[in-house]
Amino acid sequence: MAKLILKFEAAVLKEIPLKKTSLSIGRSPGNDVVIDNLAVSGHHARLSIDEDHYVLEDMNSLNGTFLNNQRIRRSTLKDGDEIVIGKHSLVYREEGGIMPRDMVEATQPAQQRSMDSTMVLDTKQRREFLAKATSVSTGSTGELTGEATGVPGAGAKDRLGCLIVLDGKTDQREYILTSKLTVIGKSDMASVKLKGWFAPRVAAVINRREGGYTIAPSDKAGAAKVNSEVLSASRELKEGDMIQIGRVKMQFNFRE
Amino acid sequence: MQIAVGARSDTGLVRQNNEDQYAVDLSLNLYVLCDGMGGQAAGEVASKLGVDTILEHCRQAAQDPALEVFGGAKSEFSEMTNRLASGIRLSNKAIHEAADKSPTTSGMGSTVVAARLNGNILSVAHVGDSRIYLFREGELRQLTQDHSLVMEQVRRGLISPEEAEQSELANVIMRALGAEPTVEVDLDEHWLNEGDQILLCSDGLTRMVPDAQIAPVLTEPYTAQQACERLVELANEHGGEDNVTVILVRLEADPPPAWWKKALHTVLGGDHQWQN
Repeated sequence: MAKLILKFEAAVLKEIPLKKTSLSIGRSPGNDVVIDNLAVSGHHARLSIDEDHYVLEDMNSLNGTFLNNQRIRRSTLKDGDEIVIGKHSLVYREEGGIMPRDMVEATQPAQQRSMDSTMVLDTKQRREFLAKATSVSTGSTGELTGEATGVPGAGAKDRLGCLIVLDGKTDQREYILTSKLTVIGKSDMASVKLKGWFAPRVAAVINRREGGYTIAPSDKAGAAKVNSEVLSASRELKEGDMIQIGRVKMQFNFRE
Repeated sequence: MQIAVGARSDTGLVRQNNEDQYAVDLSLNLYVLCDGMGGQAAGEVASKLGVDTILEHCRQAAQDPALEVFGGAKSEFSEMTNRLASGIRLSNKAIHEAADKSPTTSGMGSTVVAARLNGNILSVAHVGDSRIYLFREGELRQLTQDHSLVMEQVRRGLISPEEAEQSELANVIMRALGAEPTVEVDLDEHWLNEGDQILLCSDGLTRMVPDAQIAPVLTEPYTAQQACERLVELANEHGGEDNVTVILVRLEADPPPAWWKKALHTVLGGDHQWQN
């Protein structure tokens, strides 16, 4: 594990093992390495892992950050480098190589993480981390995009449903249910449009969820029936289900 | 049906500054909440840029419906949902580009949850670990799935939800605005009924207050604003370790009409019970 050795003139003050992917140095108490000296800015410099090495960055400090006697803004660290901040120096030691980023995260002490600032994994890290996390228990290295909500459109189980109008007045004879939400009624929001004076504004709403469909009543329950039962709560639509709203009869089918 | 909205953002008890940002546009029925991240003040910059970009895009689109949908429209979603996604993709671009410009903002990012109501249809979009809940008939249901490492592990069955809460990796998120040049936005649509409540919140609420304690606040006879204030208070009572922001949207019944309107309604007819 890499470490920093904090020195004041010749005296070694302490050794700081680098357990985190990013480490802040400064005078403010919130820093990972606090150097209490007026020459040091509140947030003076930062160390962070970039690929397989640590990078030192000056955080626009007043008195500057020096690496091997040169003032730097941003520089890669190598074993034995000496960082000077004010009158303090920090020697960078790489013993046994630095830890890969995911390992660093996983081994961080609990009290450090609790409400630590949020961090994001980039695509590459995400893949690597998930591959590692999942291969241990399941052996799967398949789709690792972090996709979760099952957006319809892909996959064999995402069959398309359709409504075929058997009787009654509607604006089309057949509706293919590609939308996430299909509203049935007279309302402007409805995509299955009922006609006639007394047609309900919204009779029912069909939801497309993970390869299947559910139908739910609108505010005014009782306007729709499924297989002759009054629709009072959300239910799954099955092949051949008959939806009846007033004189309109529609059959639900999955498309081949 | 009428809409009542409350909102509240608080720094909490531990953090120095508030990196959360939110916006409510009552004319568009648009609600946006961003939780920024990044050193120094960068988190605040990112979340503000996120909210502003989304708001501006949706406002422009309201003026000019032909405005291009950034990143392409998905056919299964309504125009309004696609517009929300478009605004979020633009905000990702804005944050990503701003982050590259200056070393102080490099690596900044933000989560986002955004919701918009069009009649009874709620459009929902999100990136990161801020959340949207639907409170219906006494039950609190999470409409968004956190893009966090631990929730991904839960979904894969590797750890239990309880373990996820305790995990040291709870702060690692898989997606954020600004992290990469493009972002994948999760979208969804829901049909809302009268009496439903929608809660948008940053993880400063959900990591401090369990769902079981959020729900009762929503059943109290508070106004939407009072409920928001109570939720923030609860987060702080539980430690207030992070910034906390909540937006509460309530679909309330219209006040009962005057007697003469009722009479008129009876005489002229209207929304009759539909005869089966």
